[in-house]
Parts: sequence; structure tokens; C-alpha cells
Amino acid sequence: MRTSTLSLVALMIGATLAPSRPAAAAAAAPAPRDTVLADPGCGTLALVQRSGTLVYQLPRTFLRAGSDSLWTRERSWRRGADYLLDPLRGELRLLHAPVPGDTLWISACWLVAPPALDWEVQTYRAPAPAARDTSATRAPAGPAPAAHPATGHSPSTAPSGTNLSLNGNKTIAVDFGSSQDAFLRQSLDLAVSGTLAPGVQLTGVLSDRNLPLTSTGSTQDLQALDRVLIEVTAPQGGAALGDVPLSLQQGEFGRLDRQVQGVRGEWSVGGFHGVVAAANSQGEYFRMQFYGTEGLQGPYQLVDRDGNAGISVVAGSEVVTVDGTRLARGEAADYAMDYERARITFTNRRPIAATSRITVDYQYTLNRYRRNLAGASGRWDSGRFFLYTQAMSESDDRGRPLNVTLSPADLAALAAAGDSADAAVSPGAAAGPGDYDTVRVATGQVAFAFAGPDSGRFNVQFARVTAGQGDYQDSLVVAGRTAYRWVGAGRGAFRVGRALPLAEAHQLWSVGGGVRAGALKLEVEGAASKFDPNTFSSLDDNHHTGGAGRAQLGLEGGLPGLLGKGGLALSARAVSDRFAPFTQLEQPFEQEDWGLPVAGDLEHARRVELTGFLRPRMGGELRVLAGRLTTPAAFSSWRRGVSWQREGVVVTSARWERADARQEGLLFADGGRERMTGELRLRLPWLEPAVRGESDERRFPSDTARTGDRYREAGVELGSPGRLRWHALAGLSLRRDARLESGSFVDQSQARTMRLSLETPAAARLSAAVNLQRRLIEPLADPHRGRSDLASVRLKGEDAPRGLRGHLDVEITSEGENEQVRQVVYVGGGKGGYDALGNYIGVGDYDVTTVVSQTLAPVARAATSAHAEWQIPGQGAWRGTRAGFDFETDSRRRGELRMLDPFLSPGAALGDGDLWQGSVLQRLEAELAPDSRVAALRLRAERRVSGDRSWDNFAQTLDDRSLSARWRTRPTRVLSTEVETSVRRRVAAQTLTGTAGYGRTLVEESAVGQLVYTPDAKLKAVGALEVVRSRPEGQLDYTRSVRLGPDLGYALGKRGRAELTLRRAFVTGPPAVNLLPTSDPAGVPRWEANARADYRVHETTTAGVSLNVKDWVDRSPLTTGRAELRAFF
Amino acid sequence: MSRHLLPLVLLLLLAWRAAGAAEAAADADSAGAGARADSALAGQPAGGPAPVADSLPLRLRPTLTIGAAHEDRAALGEPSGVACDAFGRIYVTDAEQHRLVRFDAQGTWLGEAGALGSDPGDLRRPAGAAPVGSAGVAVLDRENRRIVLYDLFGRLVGVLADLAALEDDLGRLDPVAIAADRGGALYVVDADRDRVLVLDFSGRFVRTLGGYGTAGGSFRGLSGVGADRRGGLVTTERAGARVQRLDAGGEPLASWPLAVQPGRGALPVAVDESGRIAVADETSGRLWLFSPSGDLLAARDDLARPRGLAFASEGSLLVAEGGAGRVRRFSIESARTAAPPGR
Repeated sequence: MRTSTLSLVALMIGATLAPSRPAAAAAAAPAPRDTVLADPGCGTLALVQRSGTLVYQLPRTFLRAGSDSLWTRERSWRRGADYLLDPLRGELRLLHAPVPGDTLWISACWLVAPPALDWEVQTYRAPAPAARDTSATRAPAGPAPAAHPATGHSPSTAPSGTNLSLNGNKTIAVDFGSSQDAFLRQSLDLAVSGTLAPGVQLTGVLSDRNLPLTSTGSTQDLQALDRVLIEVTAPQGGAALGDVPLSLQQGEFGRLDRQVQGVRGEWSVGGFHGVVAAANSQGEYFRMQFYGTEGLQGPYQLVDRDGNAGISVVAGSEVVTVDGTRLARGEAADYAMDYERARITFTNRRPIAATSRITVDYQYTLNRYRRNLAGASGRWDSGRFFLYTQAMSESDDRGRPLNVTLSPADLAALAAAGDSADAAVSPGAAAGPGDYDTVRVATGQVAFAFAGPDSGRFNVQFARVTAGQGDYQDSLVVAGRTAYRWVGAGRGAFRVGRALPLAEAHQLWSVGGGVRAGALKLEVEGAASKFDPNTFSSLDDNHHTGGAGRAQLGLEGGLPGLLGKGGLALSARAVSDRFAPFTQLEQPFEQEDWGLPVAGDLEHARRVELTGFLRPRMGGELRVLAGRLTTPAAFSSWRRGVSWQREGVVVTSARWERADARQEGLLFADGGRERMTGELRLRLPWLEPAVRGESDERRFPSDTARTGDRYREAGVELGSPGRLRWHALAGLSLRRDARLESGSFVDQSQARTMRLSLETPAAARLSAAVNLQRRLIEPLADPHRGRSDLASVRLKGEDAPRGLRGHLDVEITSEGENEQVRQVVYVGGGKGGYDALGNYIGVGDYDVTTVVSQTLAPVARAATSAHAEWQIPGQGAWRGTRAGFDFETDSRRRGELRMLDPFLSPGAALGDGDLWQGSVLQRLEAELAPDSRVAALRLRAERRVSGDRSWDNFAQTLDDRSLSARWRTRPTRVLSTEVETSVRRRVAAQTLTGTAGYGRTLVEESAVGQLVYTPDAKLKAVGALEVVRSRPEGQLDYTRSVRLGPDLGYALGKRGRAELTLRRAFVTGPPAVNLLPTSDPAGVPRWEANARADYRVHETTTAGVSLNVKDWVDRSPLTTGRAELRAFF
Repeated sequence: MSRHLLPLVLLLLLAWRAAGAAEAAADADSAGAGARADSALAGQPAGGPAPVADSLPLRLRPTLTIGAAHEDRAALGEPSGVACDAFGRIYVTDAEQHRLVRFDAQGTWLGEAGALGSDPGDLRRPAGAAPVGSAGVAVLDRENRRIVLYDLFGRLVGVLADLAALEDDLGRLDPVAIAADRGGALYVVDADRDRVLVLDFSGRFVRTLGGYGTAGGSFRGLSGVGADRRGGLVTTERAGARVQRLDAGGEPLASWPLAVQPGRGALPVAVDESGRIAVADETSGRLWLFSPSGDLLAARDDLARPRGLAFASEGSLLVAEGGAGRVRRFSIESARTAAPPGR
């Protein structure tokens, strides 16, 4: 009673305090003289609108329909136009953007004591009678004490400030059929978003599929595609769960940059900022740095740290640089990555030459053990001082190996292997069907020789060991398996055996700090690491720790007079040879700057550097550098350099660097590098000419001969200023590459590169974007000659008054493709699945294997897409009349492209034997009077041609031409008709070296008609008739088929619909044939029926069932079906 | 082949010519009604011109432009589809540059995928984009006749559906638009036969909806499709000049006329959480916002060849304008609320 009274009072107070409706009449209304007792089931609620939040959960549910009214200080809101209200759940949805901070009042009526929104049916079970307690006394009469909650919190009521909206779908479907088992498909999608507390935003998604896909269409590990992504943001920090980036970037020794699956949180309090993360590592980190191949944009194969190519790269984990510039992923950007096959291809925006310095940092998927990663980082800033620390740990879970089961013998071998991967090998040869036979080699030894897939008497495994420690080398890839060949004892990189995976553990801790006092700045950092390559073994465990330290003292400030500003920095760094960082300490190709070969170890070195800069008041910057480096391998180097750069109308830049290196212990111990660059550019109002030159000379310490190389390059460039709407650039460069021979440099080749680009304003009626580059390699001492072209052309035009539109896109690039051979092997009558040309026919006499060479053949590629359209102006029935032409080609050619390859003709695709792959689509289409009631016509002529000669011994061409006309009418409101006739001619040809080849031409003429009757929305009835005749060319008789039957659709009340399609086919003449040999039956089924029913069982839930039956003359009927339930929430 | 072609063409032309006279009269009758519908939907009463948005309860105010030409890598050529995920990230298909571009909610370029070609990972004139479930984005690779799936980080997952392979059973396909519901069921507009192909979340063909016809549930010049929060569909027809709302089973629920002309341009459609329907006309540059029952709520007529629409999670409307190489975000506001001028 008291509670009710208080509520009543509170409601009255709320109603009094809430601003009245803005209507003037309401404001002017006289104050009530009598006390009005308000309805306790009605009241006014207030909420504050938040930015980006459209859905608000009201504190009341079970609102009376139509009782709601909303207003702000400005105006009243209209239901349906300004807001929607779910009265049952009390969910308010705004229909336009909220005004953050503005109060919204809601007046409504509701149930005072609403029931719960969710009910659970429970069955009462009486408790079993307990044994009488003789000490019990008779219970006093009267009612039992009422149960009361332990806390005042109601779990159904969201805490204050929480406002989450959840939506998603659950789908369950069962596929079944006469030739398949029942198969369950399910999916779950959830998305939650909203506010947890003031300023704390939550967004999360969950997706679960039971049919993950790979790019080739096959299924993959289920866990790899199930995704949970959650992000929480708050004013002082945030957290993320799922695929999260983990980036620890303080100092130099403890850096970490990974894409992980796990949880990451960060927060800031005062001057402190911290980050913690715990995750499953998705892969192992590795860096590849290499020079490009002249004119080859890709693909370049990425490998694991042992040099194996059969890896997959963790998607999105890579960082790619070319010549020090970080690139962006995306095929229209700088490069494209084939993650599954670990291959990278550069687009024509980034021309690749033999001198391109390519670095790829990436993670490849784990293939040994599940791996855990944890990291933490903290930084404290206070005035002039700062302090930071980072710790990270990554370790294999040796109890959870991947792709292998370790036997006790394997574990013993691992324990005895110490830190040597070469020693962790178990026996790898077993008798039985396999790929290898034994042969007696020249030395009298017995070795294994590849006999073909499953054609040998031994099943042999090979383990990679250190180069020069094995007896075998890898060679071809046959049917997806690598074939190994014996190369002599101690001459190979593989040995017979099964490599056992070592379980690693890696920890690192770093701490650093610094102080800034006026112009002086001091920073120090120290780090310690522990890396155990084999946690199974305690051998060699005393060699796992390492340390590193550095100090830097800087002085920076203003200088008197015209000197402007200057600075000096002295830094020293020492890294022990056992220190193991998580990411490489040095920049890519830093070795070259010190005169060390690219493969040299620069990570574990001692060095001292002095750098300085001067920025005079007249502009520009002068930098100087001097440094000394020594490595544990007795390499030492002196390095110095100076550079100058100034911007302005006259842009100048110059740089000189020299390193003198020495590797003690080598016969030719001296090496080094000398590099000079210079550029002069004029920024004129309408033109920007530039000239530049570069010289780079490198000598490497060696034990065999004096080695080194040098290039000199000069170029001129003419471009338009960036402020113009038109952009043009023309450039020419000349480069000479030389090699050190007999003490002097001898020019090997000369490369001329021409570049031209033009870009016009994209918004104009006619626009163009053209990028062309041609690089010609001319032989000097080296007889190799080459040419590579890269180009992209985009033309776009539109003449709206005349209804004309068109575009043309051309892409030209150079790539590499693996050469492959199709091997067709006779296995006996009916014992294989293929015919003599390698076509899969279900039951055949042959088996097929594809042998893929590991070498890449250079292939020039051109792709074109063009479309032209004329929308013919017209009125009445002629409105919408148009004609269009589409042209799409794709051509690949070994070596260099020919002039017309971007505009490949069907004849060339079919007949040009030098073309590696080619495809052409030509389509001419006209639509006449589409709005006509009695004569809407569409005419179409289309030709699709493809030629594939990517195998060394096999080629296939397809030519598909069709001509069709369609006539539609709609004589009355309930009737419409459609007639379509078409003529089609398809030609297929296959050649396989050593066989007679295959060729077939199919001619097909068809007419399809349908009469559609739709008296109302409930019923739809269609009568369909299809007449087809076809024959292989050279055969006189046609296979004739007539198919007819109805399509019926009928509404099942207001919630469902049923549909039935029935076809009966009458076939005469010889049996139908397919264009290419296949296991699928040719021709149409005698009977075909489709039935389907859908029903909405609830506002949020739909159910459907479908059944399809096909019946051929000489085959058993094929039945497939599906039952599906879909719930939305 | 030519001996079959000539009589066929002559026959069609004769029939077409003979029908012309009868049709002229019918067209004259319908012209008046059509013009009235056109002007009303364009926001102009039949009696004379009036301001477009003044009488409407809501208005669309541009708040963000993505992909303008000066943004270098983020510059879009011919955006033809747009989608938005739960985190507010925006996915745009660029038909001219044959790629999928990702932006964050503020329009900052995040990455891209795709290049001209037909190999895995390549695209040829990509059309629409649609979020598949909660963790993927499907792209209609139109000339390659396939649907390609990407994850929310823009990484290629694979080919979700090979539409060319469906042609053996379904006849020739001309996919022009795509939509997906919350469960990942895909709806593909086949303009060749005026039907909607329904695929499940794994890309498997389930059924077709519609077909040529004039009554509810049938289509004439089908150009666009959108899915609502409960799996219902909204379609737009260019020749039929109407919007239809269908339930998940294909049962027609409502329809209303649309002031468009027959032809080839896109008629993108999007449905928001409250069931409101946005429709744009590529040819005329108009954009309409309808209530679930077809009442006009807001309109604009200054768009440059709009080819894709999507509602963002915070309620704004994203429009891909192929003619201007940009995506614009429109805030939906009450027409009676004062607001700062948009960009």
C-alpha cells in the first residue's frame, strides 16, 4: 500500500516536472484547482538522445497500443514518421537522425505489473516423501512464508545506461535426395550494438557457418571461418575480441606487429597508457627480402623459414615494401596476394625490375603446434621523463601438435635432438604401394627414385635438412606431390625420413626510458630474450638467452644568425649473438648500406653512429652521418654520408654515401658501397621539368673472387603541376648495369624505360586515364634482350542528350605461370574415370595426373572490358528503346604481347597457337519498345570464345554463338505472353599430343513460349511450351524435344504460398549428345516436377519445403528436396 | 543460321508494326494517368511545380562524401554498389576500376581488392554489394557471372556462387543486382527473365521468384531488389514502373507506382530496420524514401547516376553515385528540425 502511494506520488511529481507539450493551448491552460488522481498505469518517461543511436529500450514493457505520444522541446513527434514503438517490448526506434543531448519525453500507458517477456514451461514433480523425523514437532498451522528474492536486482531489467540492440538470424536446412544422404546446413548470424554505459559503446558480430569455402570452392577447416568480433570503446580505453591487430612499438628491441585471434585491451589513466593482449597465434613470423625478376610482376613464391613453398599466409598479416616504400594490398593498388598458395603479384602500378628490392614480412599458417601469444606494454609520461616496458611470450603448445601424432619413439627422438632440427628425424621409408622404387646408384649405394604417383613399391618421406647435409633434392611437382631425386651423399638438402616438429618457446622483455632537458635528450633501452628451439629437449638449454642495449644522446636547438636550427645525435647499440627479437631490428636491405651482402647477419652487431642536421633559415636541410659497425662474424664497416634537400620553385636534392667494409678471414676481404643521387626539379606554373641521376656501386667481401655490381641511371621527366585538373607525365630514363670482372666494372646491359601518363577530369563528358610504361633491355656483355610493357587505359564518355554512353578499360601486365603437363595413363577397361583426352566421364579407361613445373614461364597478360550503349530517344511505347554492345577479353601470351592482344578477336583465341590463354565475349543487344503492350522486342547476338593452351601437351577451344529474339505482350491486365526463339552453334575442340584429338559441333534451334495468367495476387498460372531440336554437325537427323507443362502459384491464406512446376518432355530422333565428354546425362528429363511451399509460422519465423523430381527414360528417377526453417530476431 | 534469322525477324517486325496502331490509342489513355503518377512521385503535384521536399515529413541531408577524385587512392571511378557492416565500415564496388574498396565509417580508405580479369580474385564490372550474414560481404561480379565473398577485412574468402554454372538448369542469366538478408540468403535479380534467384547462405540455389508478368508477384523490367529485417523482399521494376513488397515466400504484400522510364538504368533499393524503403533511379538521378506502405517520406532529385543504396547501422543512407565517382552519406532528418547546411 505504501509502495503504491509512493509510486503514485512519484508519477504525479514526474508529470508535474516534465515540460508540458509545446502547444500554446496547453501552456496557457489554467492550473487545475482540484487534485487529480493520475492513473498509476500511465506516465511520462524521459530519455536523452544519443549520437548514432536510433533504438532505445524504455523502462516499461506492455504499453497500451495507441497510448503513446512523444515530444521534444521543439515539437510533437508523429508515430510512423518520426518514430516507431514496439509496445510489447517497449522498444523505441527513431526514424530520423537523433539530436544528441536533446531530451525526448514519452507519454504512454502500460501494465503496472507486466509479466515476463519470456516464459518457460516447467513440469511440477512432487517431492518424494521424506522419512519421518521423530524429533520433529508439528508445524504450526497457517500460511507458508512467501518466497522473496535475495536481491532487489531483476535480471530482466537492463542496468541504467545500458541500451543494446540484438539482431540476427538462425537458419536450419536439411537437404535430402535419392542419390545423397540427408545433409544438415545451418547458419547463425548475430549482431549486437549499443551503449553499455554512458560513453561506452559495444559492437559485436558472430557468424557461424557449416559450409566454409576456399577460393577454389572446396571446404576448409570449420573453425577458420567461424567469427566472433567484438569492439568496446570507452573514453579511457577499449577492448576487442576476435581478429585483432597487436602492435607493440616502443623502443627498438621489443617491437611486435601481428594479426592475432584473441583479446586485446588498452587503457589510459593520467600519464599512463597500457596495452595487454592474449591470443592464439595464427602463424609464424618471417621476412623475405629479395630482388625482383626483370619484367616479372609475379607471382613470387613466399616460403617458410626452412625454404618450403607449401605454406599458406595468414590473410592480412603481410607488410610489403619495394625499394623502401610500403605498398598497399589490392590488385588495383600495388599488389595482390594469393594467401592460400603464398604467392604475391605486383600490379602494373609498381613495375618490377631486376633491381627492385622487395621485402615481404608475413605470417604463415602454423603447421607444427598450436601456438599461444601474450604481450603487455606500458608507458608512463611525466613532464620531461618517460619510461616504458614491454613483455611478450610466444610458445608452442607441445601437447597439441598439428597434422601429426607423436609416438613415444618420436618424443624420444625429439628429446635427444637438442636444438638441431636436422637431428629430429624419424624413419621415413616403408614397404608398400608408394611413389618410389629403389635403384642402385653409381657409387654402389641404393637410393630411392621417383616412379610416378602410386606407381612404386616404397612409400618414402623426405625431410629438409641443412643444405649440404642431405642426399636428395626436390624437383618436379607431380599431381600435387613433390618428387625428390638422389643427388649424391652430402650434396642435397633433403634426406629420407620424417621431419619431427620442434616445439619452440620465445620470451622477451624490454625496458627503456629517457629524459629531455632543454636541447638535450637522452634515451636508453635494454632487453633480454630467451629462445628455446626445442622445449622437448633440455640439451643445449644454456645457450638460449641473449641481451641487447642501446643509448642515444641528442642535442637539438636553434642556432645563431642564418644557421637556423641544428642538431646532433650520438647513438650506440650492441646486440648479443643470441638475442632473439620478435621482429627484425634492421630495415630491409640495410646490409647493403654497410657494404654487407643482403644475406649477411646484421641483426647481431655493435655499432656507433653520429648524425647531424642543419636547417638554415634560407630553407632546405643538410644531413651528415658517420658510423662504425662490427659483427660477430668479424665483419666491420665504416660508413659516412651527407645529403641535402630543399623544396621551393627550384627543388634540389643530393645525397652521397660511402661504406668501407672488411670481412676478416676471407681472401678478398674488402667490400663496401658508394652511392650518389641527385635531382633537380622546377615547379613552373604550367610545367614541372625534372632531371635526376643515380649511381650505386657495391663490392662484397668474398673468398673466391672480387665480386660487385654497379648501376648508373639518368632520367628526365616532364609533368604537369598538381593544381591542374589535367595530369600528365612523360619520362625517360637510361640505366646501365655493370658487374665487377677481373678488377673492373664491365657493362652488362642497358635498360631504357619510357613512361607516359595522362589523366583528365573524371567528371567530364569524355574522360581518360592512361598509364603506359615500356622497358627495353639491350644487351651489352650479357646477351639477354628483353622487353616488358605495363599499361592501363580507361576511357569513359557520355552524351546524355543523345543517349550515348560508353567505356573502355584495358590492363596490361607481365606475370609468370607454372608450366604444366597433362599425363593420361591407361589403367584398364572401366578402371579409370577419364577418357583418352583426360575428360572426366565417370567410368573410363584412363587416369589423369597434372605435372606442374616449379619454374615460372613469363606470360604477358592483357584484359579488356568495353561497353557502348545508345538509349534511343523516344516517346510512348518507344520509351526505353536502346542498343548496346559489350566486349570482354582476357589474353595471356608467353613472352611479349602483340599489338592486338588487348582487342583479341575470336579467330585469334581459337587459332593462335602461341596464345597461352584467351577468352572473348562479344554481345550485341537491342531492346525495342520495352514499354509496348503488344510488341516489346529484344534481339541479342552473342559469342563467347575461349582457348586454353596452358598445358604443354594439351589444348582446348570452345566457341559458343547464339542469336535470340524475344517478343513480349500484355494484351490485358491479367494476361501476358512471351515468345523467345534462338539459334545456337557450339564448337569444341581438344588436342592432346599423341592422340587423335576431339572435335564436335552442336547446332541447336529452340523456341520457348509462355502464357501468363494472373487474375489476382493469389493465383498465378503459367502455361509453358518449349520446342528444341539439336544435332551434331555432320549428322542429318535432329534430336527433337517438346516440353510443356504448367507453373502454378497459389497463396496459402495470408501467410504462405505454394508453387508447382511440371514439365513433360517428348523426345524423338537420335539420343542427344553433350558438347564435351562428361558424366552428366545429355538431353532433358522425360518428367520434371518442382513443388514448393513457404509459410510464415510466426512474425519472425518462416518455414519452407521443396521437392524436385526428374525422371529420364533409361535411368532411375532423381529426387532432391530441402526443408528449411529461418528465424529472424 | 542466317536462313532462320531472316524470316524470324520479318515476322516479328510485321507483328510489331500491325500492333502499333492499337497500342497508340492505349498509350494515349494511359499517358494522362502516368504523368500524374510521375509528377506526384517526383514531389510535384500534377497541377504545377512545387518545391520537392517542402511537403514531405523527412529530408535527406548529405553529411559525408567518399571517394572524391582528389583523394588519390580512395578516388572512385564508377561506384556501382555499396554495403555497410555492423561496425559502420563501408564497402563500395567500383565498376570502372573492377575492385571492391573499403572505407571506415568516417570515409577513410582502408583497402581494396580485385582487378580486371576472370581469374580467382579478379572482377569484371562488379555491380552490387551486400552484407552476408554478419561477417561477410558478397559482391556481384557481373560479367564473370559469379558472386564473390569477402570477409569484413576485405579478404577474399571465395566464390560463393557460380551463376554461369546455374545456366544449365535455369537458362541464360543476366544478373544485375544483389541483396542479402540477415541470415545470408542471397537474392539476385535476373534481368533477362525478370525473376529473382534465391540462394542460401552457402551459395546454393534454392528457388526462383517472380517471372514476367504484370500482376503482383510478377515483374516487368526487374531492376533492383532489397531485403528487410525479416527476410521480406522489395523489388523495383523499370518497365513496370513500380515498387513491390513481397514476403519471404514471394507473396505480394504491397505495391505502388514509381516515376521511372523504361530502359536499362539501375533502380537500386534498400530497406532499413524500420521497414522504410529507399529507391533511386540511375537515369533521372532521383532518390525516394518510402514508408513500408508506400507513403513518400523524403525525396531528392540531384544525384549523379545513383547505382547503389545501403542503410548504415546508425540509420543514415549511403548512395553510390556512378556519374560522380563518389558515395554520399545522407542523414535522415525531420523536415521541421533546423539543421546545419550539408556538404
